[in-house]
Amino acid sequence: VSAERLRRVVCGLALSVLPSCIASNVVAIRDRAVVQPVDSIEWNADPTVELANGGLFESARISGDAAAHLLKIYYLFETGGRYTAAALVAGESGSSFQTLEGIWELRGRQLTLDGGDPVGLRAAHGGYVELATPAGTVALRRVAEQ
Amino acid sequence: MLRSVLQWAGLAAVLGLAGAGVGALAIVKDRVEVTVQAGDAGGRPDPLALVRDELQQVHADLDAIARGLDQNLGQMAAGLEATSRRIDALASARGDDTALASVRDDLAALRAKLEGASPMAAAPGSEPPRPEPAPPLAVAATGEANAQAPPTRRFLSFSLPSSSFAFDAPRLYRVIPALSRVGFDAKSTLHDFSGVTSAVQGDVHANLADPGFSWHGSVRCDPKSLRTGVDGRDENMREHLLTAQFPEIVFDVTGFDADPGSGGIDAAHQTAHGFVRGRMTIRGKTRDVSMPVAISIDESKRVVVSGEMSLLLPDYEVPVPSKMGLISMQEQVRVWVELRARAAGPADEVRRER
Repeated sequence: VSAERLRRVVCGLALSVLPSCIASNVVAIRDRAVVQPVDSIEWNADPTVELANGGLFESARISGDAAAHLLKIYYLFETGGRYTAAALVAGESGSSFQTLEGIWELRGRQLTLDGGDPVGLRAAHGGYVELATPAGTVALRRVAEQ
Repeated sequence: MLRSVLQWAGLAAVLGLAGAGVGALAIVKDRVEVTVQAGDAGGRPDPLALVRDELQQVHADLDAIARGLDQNLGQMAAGLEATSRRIDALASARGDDTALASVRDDLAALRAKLEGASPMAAAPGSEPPRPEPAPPLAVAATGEANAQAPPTRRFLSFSLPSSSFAFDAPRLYRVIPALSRVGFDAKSTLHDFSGVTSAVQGDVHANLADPGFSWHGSVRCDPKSLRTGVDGRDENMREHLLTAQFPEIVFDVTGFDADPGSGGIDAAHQTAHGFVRGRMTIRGKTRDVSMPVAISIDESKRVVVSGEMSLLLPDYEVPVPSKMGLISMQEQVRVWVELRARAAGPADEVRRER
């Protein structure tokens, strides 16, 4: 076998093997959709701790029937028991903000707003709190006041 | 004789009584105060005080009536606004018995509330209507929460429209760029790769449960924002796509054909499978296309559209990249979309295709 022939065989082998050494950069079908960070949260924190000092929260995910009209929610829980909130509500003639203020209270692992029905609570480390009602669920994320 | 004596005696008696009267008056004249009062007023309150009380009561009643009128006018305005929105919704959803029943309920509730609160409806002499107290603790500070009278649905103290997501109604769906992606998968000699972007936007008018509705609208993406993971390749791609000259890749939607073989339209489960027809424009060249898609609703009541199709780069006069003839890209690529869109109002027109 001549040296020239040997060199051709080696080059051919190298070219045929080379593509398998370079990883494919194709996005898998299951990874095409945008994934929100809140979708992979583990709700294993104590909500009473997360809410104990109040704070400003914004919705990271709204689900359930209420999500058909609610685009965004903000809550400001004050340590004295007062809260104020704003929601961007989609209506037939466009979206508009609603604002509220009232009283909030923690009762065990439940939250009451204005003395209404208790709202189920879950929490995750990193300032996440989830409010659950039969009409829908809102995952809130703590944000800094500016 | 006797007669004369009697006359003089009578005259003397009269003069005596008159003199006694004058004398008594002279004695007590400084101690007597004459007042004039009605004959039957003995022991009753001062009439001037009664008049003052009546005037104060009239003032109070007028104030209460004014407050009641103010409240009722506010309720009427809010009710008319809410009813107007309902009617608009009804107009956009012709034949929707649910919406019609909702309007009827709202009107009945509004009428009952106005009748109950109207000062004109109060019985004579009854206490004027008082403004209703604000809800305990929670106070709506802006229009909508108060304007919804009565509240249609409460959620975490907010007041929301009573209607639910309608899969089978003609709606305008608006793409949410932050939750959407479009891209392509390409094969080349060395390795395969994808180009991806979230710079996508669009509006599509559709009735997800009715292929007969003329779907229309467009979805557009910015080809400059496509990323393949290799900067040099991105730069070559922008040159091949002439992004400076043609800054958008556009998919004009013209219709939808359900595909019974893959499930067709299932309004009960809010899914649809079929082909979105339209015209794809790349690098200024437009071709008719039909993209297989799967449509569903996520837990946040957003429309999820997943689809992909093949296209040939030469059909759009896009040069197929090649490096010295050794490293070449295939001319066929898979274009895919993974969109989320939200209902943003009624469809702007309802046309029947067939």
